[in-house]
Amino acid sequence: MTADTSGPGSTGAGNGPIENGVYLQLSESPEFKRLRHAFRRFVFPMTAAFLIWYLLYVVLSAYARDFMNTKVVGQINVALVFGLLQFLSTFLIAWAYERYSSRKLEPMGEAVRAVAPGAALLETGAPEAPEAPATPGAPAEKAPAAEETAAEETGAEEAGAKETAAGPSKDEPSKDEPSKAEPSKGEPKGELPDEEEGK
Amino acid sequence: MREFLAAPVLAQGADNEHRTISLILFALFVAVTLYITIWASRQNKTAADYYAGGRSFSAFQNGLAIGGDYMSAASFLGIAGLFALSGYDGFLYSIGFLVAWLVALLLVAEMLRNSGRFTMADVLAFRMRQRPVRAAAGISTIVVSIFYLLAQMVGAGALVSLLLGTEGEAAKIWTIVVVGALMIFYVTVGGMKGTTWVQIVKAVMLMSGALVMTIWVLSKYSFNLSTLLDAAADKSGKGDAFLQPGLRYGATDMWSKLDLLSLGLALVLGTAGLPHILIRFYTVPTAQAARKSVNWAIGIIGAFYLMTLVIGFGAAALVGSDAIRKANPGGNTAAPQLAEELGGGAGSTGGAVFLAVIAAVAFATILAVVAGLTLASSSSFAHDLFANVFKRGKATERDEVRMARIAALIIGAIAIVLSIFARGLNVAFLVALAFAVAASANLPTLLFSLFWKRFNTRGAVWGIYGGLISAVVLVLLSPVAWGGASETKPGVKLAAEKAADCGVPADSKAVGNPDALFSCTTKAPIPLENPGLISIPVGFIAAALGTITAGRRPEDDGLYAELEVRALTGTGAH
Repeated sequence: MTADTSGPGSTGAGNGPIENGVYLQLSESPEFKRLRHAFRRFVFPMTAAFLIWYLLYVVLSAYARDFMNTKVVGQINVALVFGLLQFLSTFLIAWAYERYSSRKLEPMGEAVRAVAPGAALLETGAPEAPEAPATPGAPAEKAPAAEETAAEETGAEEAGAKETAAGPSKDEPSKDEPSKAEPSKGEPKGELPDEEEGK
Repeated sequence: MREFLAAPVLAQGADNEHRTISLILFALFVAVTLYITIWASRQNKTAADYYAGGRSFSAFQNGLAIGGDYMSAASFLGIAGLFALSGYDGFLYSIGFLVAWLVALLLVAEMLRNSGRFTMADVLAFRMRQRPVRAAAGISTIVVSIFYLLAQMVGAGALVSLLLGTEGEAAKIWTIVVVGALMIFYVTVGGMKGTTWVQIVKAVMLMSGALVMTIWVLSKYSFNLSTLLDAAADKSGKGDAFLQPGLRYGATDMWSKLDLLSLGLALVLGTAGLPHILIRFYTVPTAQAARKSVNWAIGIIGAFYLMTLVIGFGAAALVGSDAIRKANPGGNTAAPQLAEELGGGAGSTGGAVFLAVIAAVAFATILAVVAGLTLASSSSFAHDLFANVFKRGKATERDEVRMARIAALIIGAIAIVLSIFARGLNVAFLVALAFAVAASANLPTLLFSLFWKRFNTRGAVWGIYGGLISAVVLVLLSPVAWGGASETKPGVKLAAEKAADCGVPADSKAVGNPDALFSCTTKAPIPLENPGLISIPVGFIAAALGTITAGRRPEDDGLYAELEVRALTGTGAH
């Protein structure tokens, strides 16, 4: 049963001893350590902070009702302000993480990928090797009729076709990724969240 | 249940008018979504297409679909109703539902997208022995999804017949069958791509409907929140208490306060362990897109819950608690009744039209959520249990996808049958239970998998079963199942029929929860309705104990290194 991990196509797991060695080496590299440190330095304290902040709200709602019922202005009481602040803090944390991630973590991740000792080896290690390439399921026969689709949908279709075409070897996911990413990156909507979320 | 159906439903005068418009709008929504599903089916070629929509959705599209998957009829109608009847306490729910997304954003979304392929178990089993961990994760996925599914479908039966003003059991059964058949069709034919588009359409409808109602309500109070609150408190007859925490979660003994904490914990930790939410992260091309889609979802869901605050208080102020309670004691019709009132009141054409629009939004909401749940459970059945447990990873993609379709059919059929049998029960607790199981069984193993190097197979298996079993057993021992009156659950006034059902005289004070599953006079051994406060620590502790008691294997370090590098950098991502 222990050998299950190396079963082809079963998961993303276990690429075998060679790749594991590469990953071990990579996980010890200064570039990766920097990335892990930067990631954990942000998400762990932030998670602790918002959980405590939320539990404080729940505990006060249960145990400090007199305080929560104090009116601030008009009919607006502390409980309502506290609740609205939970919304605000959630939006702010999401915005802050988006900023931190795109400015700090993403370049660091690229640095790790760049120094990967057996970068080529890692990529070929991608275990998605469909035994039945181009599975011609029943619906596939109707594929030609799909031309009526809008722009983004054709993009989706291309990505799907690419995945099929990559077939058994699918040797360069890294090349494949950016082109698949286009529908989201190219679309103006996809880029907005960092500015929008703060509102 | 009976008085709830026999009550004069909504606007008697405009009944026929709004029913016709509602049916037309329902049919329109169904036609559009069926067309989308068939279109999507023509593009489904690979397993990645079926399970993950070809990973080709944009961050914004997926953000909408996450909203469509997450905002159930329970959040729309239920929370609006909670605001309308219990005032402030609705906020305790909606805030928990929103803040929970930060757990998904910071700790789960990107790493899951980078290291998994189709299901939650892909990540849990990444560095473990495949069969035991996938079996446990598959079972927990299916249990959580079916609990949630039952709650939605039983609710749908009651709700749609209520909105259409049809009475009797036949209408409810037909509604359940039609909803079930549509959901099976979306999932088996359209796969993830079809389901995602149904969820996107629903999210746009829900947000537009809610926005129109919110602005309409606010405009009646010159956009002054305080004035609206004043009017709501005034009309509720409860005064300032209506605007303060405690009307619903108001009992002051120790257990009810702990129950509130328990609910809060399950809500905030459950979302990031819901399998139907997690698989949505696979539908975008990169981890970056997964992160941005969660940010969109946070914006959309946050805006929506802020609007339900206005809608709920608006219903309390404009319709009034008495009229709402008369139509449905649970308050589920508060939003549709508010729509009718805004449109011009009972009997007017405007009222009928707006009521029909909001009813159609509710219908779309139910369909999109049940489709997402069916997809999650059938994917896990095919990819985890069939391909990796039964076939030991030797199934072809084609067989796997065929099995996923068959599983969707079978799970859908089971859900329909169970919902028909359960239609007379109060199953609202199943939503809270699904969140509790997700928080107790799935989240601990997911977090330990991603962040704890030493974590191993035994830890994962103990964690999942420990959390799952403790949550379910606790609920079976709680006032949900045993309704006898106690300090925590004081005796309630019984309707004659309920009293007869329970076998007690109508003036008896021995019943605390007349809707209890097993007995309404036996006192519950455990006074907590929400198991999270106990079962979440049990899940974490069981996972830790399992890990520590199992021996170390040298190859595990390499597997953790691989998981960590891939999860954080996206190397080798699917």
